[in-house]
Formats: sequence, structure tokens, C-alpha cells
Amino acid sequence: MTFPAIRAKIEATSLLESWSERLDQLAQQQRTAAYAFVMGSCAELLAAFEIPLFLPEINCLQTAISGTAQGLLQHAEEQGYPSDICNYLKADVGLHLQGRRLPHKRLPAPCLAIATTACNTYIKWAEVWQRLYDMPLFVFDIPGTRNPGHPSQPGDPAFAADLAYMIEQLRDLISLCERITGRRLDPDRLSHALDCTNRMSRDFNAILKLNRQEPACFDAVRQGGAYLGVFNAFRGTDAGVRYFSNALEELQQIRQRCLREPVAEAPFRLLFAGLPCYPLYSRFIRMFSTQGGLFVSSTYLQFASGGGCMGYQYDTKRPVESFAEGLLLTTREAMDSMFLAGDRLFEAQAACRADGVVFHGVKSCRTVSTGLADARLALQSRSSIPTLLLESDMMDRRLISPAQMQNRIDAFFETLRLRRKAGAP
Amino acid sequence: MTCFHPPFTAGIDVGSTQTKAVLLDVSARIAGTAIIDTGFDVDAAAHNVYARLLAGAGLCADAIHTVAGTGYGRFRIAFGDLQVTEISCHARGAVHLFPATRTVLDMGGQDTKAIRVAADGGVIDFSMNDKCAAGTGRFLSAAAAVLEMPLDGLAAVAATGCNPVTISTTCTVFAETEILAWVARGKAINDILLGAHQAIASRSLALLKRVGLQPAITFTGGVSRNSCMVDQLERLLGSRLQVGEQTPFAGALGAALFARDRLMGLQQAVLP
Repeated sequence: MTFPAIRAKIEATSLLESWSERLDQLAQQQRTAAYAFVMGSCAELLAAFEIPLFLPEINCLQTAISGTAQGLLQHAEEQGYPSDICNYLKADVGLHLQGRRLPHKRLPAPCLAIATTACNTYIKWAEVWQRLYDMPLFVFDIPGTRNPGHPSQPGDPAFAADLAYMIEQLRDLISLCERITGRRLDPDRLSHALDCTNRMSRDFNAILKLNRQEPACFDAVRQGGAYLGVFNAFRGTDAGVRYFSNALEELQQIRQRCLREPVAEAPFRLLFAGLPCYPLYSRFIRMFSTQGGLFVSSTYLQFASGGGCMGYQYDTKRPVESFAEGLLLTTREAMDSMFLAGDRLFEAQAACRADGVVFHGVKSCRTVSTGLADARLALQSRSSIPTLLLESDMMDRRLISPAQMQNRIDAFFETLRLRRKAGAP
Repeated sequence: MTCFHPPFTAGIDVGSTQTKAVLLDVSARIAGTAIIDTGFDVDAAAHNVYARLLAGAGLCADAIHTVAGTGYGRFRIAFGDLQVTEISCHARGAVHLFPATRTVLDMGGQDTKAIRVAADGGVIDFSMNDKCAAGTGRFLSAAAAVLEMPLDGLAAVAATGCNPVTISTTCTVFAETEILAWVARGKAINDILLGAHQAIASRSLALLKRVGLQPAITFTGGVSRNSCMVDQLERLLGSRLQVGEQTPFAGALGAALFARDRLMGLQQAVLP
């Protein structure tokens, strides 16, 4: 279908393993880490204070891919957690209830939790840690878009008020970090971290734009997941900068090779909306790739990078104010990509020249999934592009029926082939 | 047996409850149909229905140019030349039977699908029941089992009901308990059965709305034989459904039409 980005995959695996090993070492040394979420992680601020970062969402999805999630879910359910709540939360609770131990690693206890209002489960989830560990919890109240399609922008009075609110909150968080570490914020360190994220975000954005052209040079669900993992776990670091620079260079080479050696039959270019099916991660992607489908774009990369893939550039000369502004704009972008998806999907499918759109709702994440059916209808009202709605889960195999999923995917490709045969653009 | 006819094509729909087969001549006219219970042996069901189809038409297997399989057991039809999903097949079959069709409701033993179709029978959109059997023929089978009645007799009894009960559960398994509870409270069987039919019709309407209801609506699948279900759906929709003797065979018919595409040199239309 396309040439695999081998170097980026190997480097992503290596980096994420090093991240896990670092967390394991911290746990063994009885040291702690800040727990944060991918939407509004404040990774750069934590890097400036040298507070290690743990991202429970990434850890949870890793347990789903590796097959260890089911035991964690079961453990939490045995303690009374119901079957219809966020399964990231439930697996994480199961992990803490069994002493933060996984088969090949341990995880440090939290010294601080940072949540945002981008997802209401974040707050309840962090409150569980607070109950278990009696550590501080900081919740960023992110002002959302009040006028759908017309969010406030720098220069607007409404934006200025939102930004002032963000700066005040950020100053509170800085004070909290100073109390935890016993040292003052070093603005130069924060500037350096922001500069690193600037470069990562710029290259990540360039990577995504590469796939808008034909031929596409990577699968936005399979390889996009690797880019996403590194972006979240290594934002604000030199290692992250090197990774994205190398990944972009590799994809540019792949693109040249694709142009030199075109495939006989062009793939069906697909836009993915929703969360991946992590318990069947490779199998799920193969259900599409074996039929000639290639995910050229994914909304997941937008919200799960906390809006970081949009290429926002911090002003490193005024790090605190710019960090607050970036946090507002990128996290709001992540929220809008979930909650105001209808019009955006129409533009996204046109931008990436998609032949079809695949909606994957997951039973246990209402934040992402609740609006998917409406977004699909909104898209269908403006476009005749074929769409497919699948429902499963991002963690719990009991909620996934591969045979039914395959049947729907088969029917979707039958439609795509008929349209191509009939000369659909 | 005569083996010197112009070539025929066949479609076999291996469903969860029944296996259907349709024979088409080169003019796309239905030359025969067959239906048997699927049972537990899917391979045998496919073979047996095909043998019955050929015997009924007085043909040998050599007369069949292409056999297409559909339904959940389509990949188990060892003699099949191609496989197509039942979603595409019901769409194609319904439009062939009723060319004005723009929406198809297929109600089978284990799933119910709403399909929006183009004038050429191509699928525009579809929606299916999820991992739950509520709103499918299995719901009626459960009602028949718990009331110790033959499945074929349910519609006639239900149609005599005047005060239908409300079956509130969305689970087929729990529906059995709810039906028993109504029996224990002295409710008449016909009212209970009418309530069961209304519950399924209501869920089907929700599926239809998900794909956007466009007239004319054709009702296919095994449950399309159930006159009470047709009545209840028409009542909820406020319009007539297109139903006929051949609508239970729409899936197999669609498969036979895809097989005919191959015969006519259009084999790349659907297959990878």
C-alpha cells in the first residue's frame, strides 16, 4: 500500500520504551511523577521544573495493545466500578489497586495531578488518585468555544479575558510546582522546552500535510499512533525534536519513492474519526489495509495530541504568557475537534481528498463518541462521500465483535469499489 | 437432467436461521428458489439448498456459470465463486424486485439492517443492530419459545390483539422474563404478542431513521413474511412497505445478481 516508515517506528518504540524504563526506575527508587492527561498536559512546565511526567492514557492504551488490560478492568469491576464508564479510568484504577505493577514494569506514585476540563472524566479520574495518594490536584478550567465555528482569536476582547483567566491559573500552577520542588521557575528552561515543542509541532504538522497530497506516504492510524505517542511523552524535549525531524525527513524520502514507483491501483483514501480499537490494533487496521484502504488522516491525532499537531508556535521571549495562550488555543482546538466535528469533517475530508470516512465510536468514551453519529449526519448532509460507523471499544475486548466489524467493513469497501467503478472522484 | 441451457447464475444466502437460494437466467429473471433451515452445519445447509435449487429447476451444476454466497456463512460455501456481504446483496435484490426502492429494511434471524440505496442498487448508507439481538427475528423466536407456540403462527395470533402490552426491555433474553411476567399477570397471549411485534417495529424504525428514511421502503428478510410485523411497521412509518413473495429471498437474489455481473463480464464491479 505504501512504504513503511521503518526508522520512525523503531525510534518511537525505543523512545517509548525508554520512557517506560525511566518510570520503572522512579518507582524502584520510591520517587514520584506528575500525572497528567494528553489534552493540556503542561509537559513543558513540568520539564522546566524537572518533574517527571506520567501519562496514564498512554499507559492504558499500551496495556490494551499488549493484552494486559482485561485483568486490570476485571480488578476494578470487582471493586465495584461499573461496566459502562471510561475504560481508561477503570484500567488505571485496577493498576493502582494492584500496586502499580505491570508484568514488566512498575509505575511511580503521583506527587501532583494536572487535569483540564477538556474531558469531564479527567477530573473524576484525578480525584481517584487524590483519594488514594492525598496529593495535590490542579484542574485547569479551559474556556471553550462559545460561538461554534467562530472561536475567539488573539486580538478579540473575549480572547483577552480568556487569556487573562488562563494566565492566572497558570501562575497558581507554577506556585504549586515551586512548592513541590522547592525551587523557583527558571524562565529560560521553560523557554527551551517551548522551543522544543515549537519544532516538534511544526514538523508534526508538516508530516500531516504530506498526506494531503497523492500519493499518501503513511497510515494515519498505524504510524500516526507512533507519532502521537512520542509527541505526548517527549514534548518539550530535545529527544522529541530529533524524532520529529528524522520522521519528517524519512517521510519526505518515502514520498519521493512513492512518486518514482507508483502502485498499480491507488488505495482508497480514508479519513478516520474517533478513537482506535487498541485491543485489536493491528488487526483493525489490517481489516482496511487488506482491502486497499489507507487512513490518510485521523481526527484522533488532533484531539489526542492536545491540539499539538496544529503547529502552534510559542513566543519563547515571553514564556509564561505564551504558554498560557498556547494551552488555551491548542486545548480548545482539541475540544472543538471532538465536540464541533460536523463542519470540520467536511473540510477535513476535502483537504485530504478522502474517498470515505470511517467513524469509530467506543462504548466507554462518551467524550469522543457521543457526537460521532451527529457528526456523521452533518457530513452526509453536505457530502455524498461514503461513511462507515463502527462501534467497539478502545480497551475492553468484551465490547468488540470482530466478525460483525469485518462484515460492515466488507460492505463499506463494496460500496467504495462500486463508486470507483462508476467513476466517482 | 438437462445441461445445455444458456448459463444460469445462483445466489445462496446462508442466514442464521434459514438458508435461501435463487437461480437467475441470463435475462435476470428468477428461474427458481429454495429455502431450508440452516441448522448447525453451515456447509451442509449450503450444499442442500443448492441441490434443492438445481433439482427444482431440473438443472445440473454445470449449467450454473457462477455461484455467489452471502450471509454470515458466505465464506463456508465451498463451491461459491464469490462472496458479497448481505448488506450489498439485500440492497441489490430489493431494487431488482422493486425499482423504486430507496430504503431497505432487512429483518433476519440475528440481525436487522436499514440500508439506503441508490437507483442502481448501490449502497449509500447502512445501519445494523449491534451485538444485541433485540429488534431481530430472534426476539420473535424467544417469544414463540416462551409461549410454546410455533413461530409461523405468531403473526396471526398477534394480529387479533387489541390492547398490546409494553415490552420495555431492549434485551431479547430479558424479554422472555418480561413476557412471562405478563402471562403471570393474566394478560392475553395475543396482546403480549402484539406488544412484542411493536417493540421490534419500534427498534427497526430507529435504525431506519439513522440512515435517513427515503421512500419507497422495501421490507426484506425472513421476517418480511410476518404480516403483523408489516402492519406494525406501516403504522409507525405512516406509509406502505413494499413486500412480496420474493422479499425473503432478496439477499440470495442480490447475490445471484452479483454472480450475473461476473457472467456478463462485470466481475470487477464489487470484488477486490
